Amino acid sequence: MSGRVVLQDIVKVYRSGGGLFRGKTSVRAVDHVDIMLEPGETLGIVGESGSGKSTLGRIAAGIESPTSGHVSLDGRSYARIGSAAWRRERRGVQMIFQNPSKALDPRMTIGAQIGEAMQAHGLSDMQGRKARMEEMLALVGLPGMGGRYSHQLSGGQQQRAVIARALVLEPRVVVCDEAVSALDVSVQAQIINLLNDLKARFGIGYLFISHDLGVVRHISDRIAVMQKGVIVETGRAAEIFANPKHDYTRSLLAAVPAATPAERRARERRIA
Amino acid sequence: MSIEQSLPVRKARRLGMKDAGRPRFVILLCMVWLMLVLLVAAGADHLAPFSYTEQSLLNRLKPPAFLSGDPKYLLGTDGLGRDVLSRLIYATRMSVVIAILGSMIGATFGTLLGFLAAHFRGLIEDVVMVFVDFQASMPFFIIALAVLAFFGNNFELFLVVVGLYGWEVYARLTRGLVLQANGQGYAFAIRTLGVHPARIYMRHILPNILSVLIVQLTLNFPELILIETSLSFLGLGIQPPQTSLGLMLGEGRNYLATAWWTGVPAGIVIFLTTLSISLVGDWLRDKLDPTLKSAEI
Repeated sequence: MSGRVVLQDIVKVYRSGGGLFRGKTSVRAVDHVDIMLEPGETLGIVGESGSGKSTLGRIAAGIESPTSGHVSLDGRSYARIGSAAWRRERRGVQMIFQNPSKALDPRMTIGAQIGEAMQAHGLSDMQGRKARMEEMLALVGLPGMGGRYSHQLSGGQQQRAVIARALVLEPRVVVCDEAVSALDVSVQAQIINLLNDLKARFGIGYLFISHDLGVVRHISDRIAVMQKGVIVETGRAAEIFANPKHDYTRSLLAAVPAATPAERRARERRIA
Repeated sequence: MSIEQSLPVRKARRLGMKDAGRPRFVILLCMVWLMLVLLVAAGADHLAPFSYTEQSLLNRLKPPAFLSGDPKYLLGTDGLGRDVLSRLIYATRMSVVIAILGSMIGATFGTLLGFLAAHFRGLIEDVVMVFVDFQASMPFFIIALAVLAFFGNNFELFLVVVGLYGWEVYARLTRGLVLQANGQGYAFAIRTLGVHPARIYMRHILPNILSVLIVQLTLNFPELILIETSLSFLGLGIQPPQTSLGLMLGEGRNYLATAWWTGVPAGIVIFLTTLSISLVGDWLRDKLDPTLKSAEI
C-alpha cells in the first residue's frame, strides 16, 4: 500500500500587498514544519483558527506551493500547479472541503460531476463510468441520486456527494479540511463513520484537519497540534489525549466540553 | 421526477400557485410574436405581395385597405407608391438579420475577451480592460460614423460596426463573473479533481454565468435594432433601395402628419419585437436557473 506524504521544512509566507497608506506586511502561516503521513494512516491536525493548519493541508495536497521546503507523495515531488502533470497527479491526492455546497457545481447533477472526475483521468468508458458512479453513490449512502442537483440535497448529502466525487478517483491520500465543521453534530458523526468505512475499504490515508478535538480524536491514529504555524506536539491520538505534553495542547483539551459528568468532576479536581 | 418531488408540485397547483415550469400568457404572446417575426424574416420572398422596389407613382400615398384605401395595398403605399406591407416584410428581414448577426458578433467577441482576461490575468487582462475602457468612453456613434464615413459603406462592414456595439459590456461582465466563479468553491474544487481548465470554463463556468449573459443579450438586442435604425436614418446604415425598419421609420417621418401608415407600422414592429425579446429574456433567465425553479414551486 502506498500513499506516503512527506513534508520537509515547509515554510509558507503570505505577503499582503499593502494599502495606500500602509506598508507591505508578511505573515508566516507555516513555519518550518516537518511532518509525514504514513500510508493508510489518519493524521489529525488540530489548532485554533489562524494556526496554519489549513495552509499546511493545502500544501500537503499540492494545491498550494510552499514558499520553501519540499513536499512529496510516494517519493515524487508535486509538479507545477496547473500543469498537465499536476492534473494527472490529482488522482492520487484529493481534497474534501469545509463547505460542500460551494464545492459542487450548482448547475450540474452530482452524477455528472462524479462522471466528469473519472473522465478527466480517462477512467473507463461511458458505460463503465456510469456503473462506477452508481456504485460510488451507493457506497456513500446516496443510492440512485445521481440525477440530483446540489440544491436538492441536504448538507450531509452534499458532503457525501463530494466524498464520492473525490474517492471515485481512488486516491491514496485525502486531505479533509474541516470536512465536517459545517455540518450538524448528528450528521458529523455519520460523515466521520463514512470516512472511516471508506478508509477501511480502500486503505486511504487521511490528513484530517479540524479545530474540533472531539472529531479528531474519533478518527485519528496520530495527531499533530499546531500553533502559530509551528507543530508543537505530535503523538498517538490516545497518548495526546491522555497525556498532553505541551501547554497549548493542554489548553486546547481543556476547552473541549466534558462528555460525562464524571469526567467533568475529574477535570475540576485536576484543576483545583 | 421522484415521488417526493412531485408531491409539493401537486400541492402548489392545488393551492393555485404559479407553476414555474410553464410560461405565463404574456410570455406565450411574446414568443408567438417573435416566432412570427422570424417566420416573416425567413419567408420574406414568398410572403411579400410586391417587390419592395416596385414603384407605382400613380398610387402614391394610398391609405391602408382598412381605411378605405385600395384593397391591393393592405397597409397602403409610401411616397413613391411602393407597397408598405411588402417593404415592411423585407425591412423586418433586414433588421432581424442585422440584429441577430450583430449581437452574436458582439456577444462572442466580448465574452471571449472576458474569458481570456480572467484566465490569463496580468498583461492580457490589462490590455483587454484598456480597450474596454476606451470603447466605453468613446460615444459609439462617433466611432460608427467615423468608420462608416472613412471606409465607405457596405453591408459586411456595417454588420461588424453594429456587432461591435456593446462588446465591452460583455467583456467586462464576463471577466467579473469568471473571476467570481474562479474564486468560488466549485470551480476551484473541480480544478483540484484534475479537470482541464478549458473544460471547467466551458462546462461549469459558462453555464453558470450564461443566464446573466442572456439577459445582457436581450438588453443589447433592442439597442442594436435602435442603432441600426439610427444609422440608417442618418444615411450611414442600410442604403436605399435596400430597406430596413430604421430606414422605413426615417422615411416615414417626413409623412407622419399626412400619411402616418408609411412609418408607423415599422415603429410598431420595432416596439413589439424589442419588448418581446426583453420579456422572453427575463423569463428565460428564470428558466435557466435550477435554484430559482425549485424555489418558486
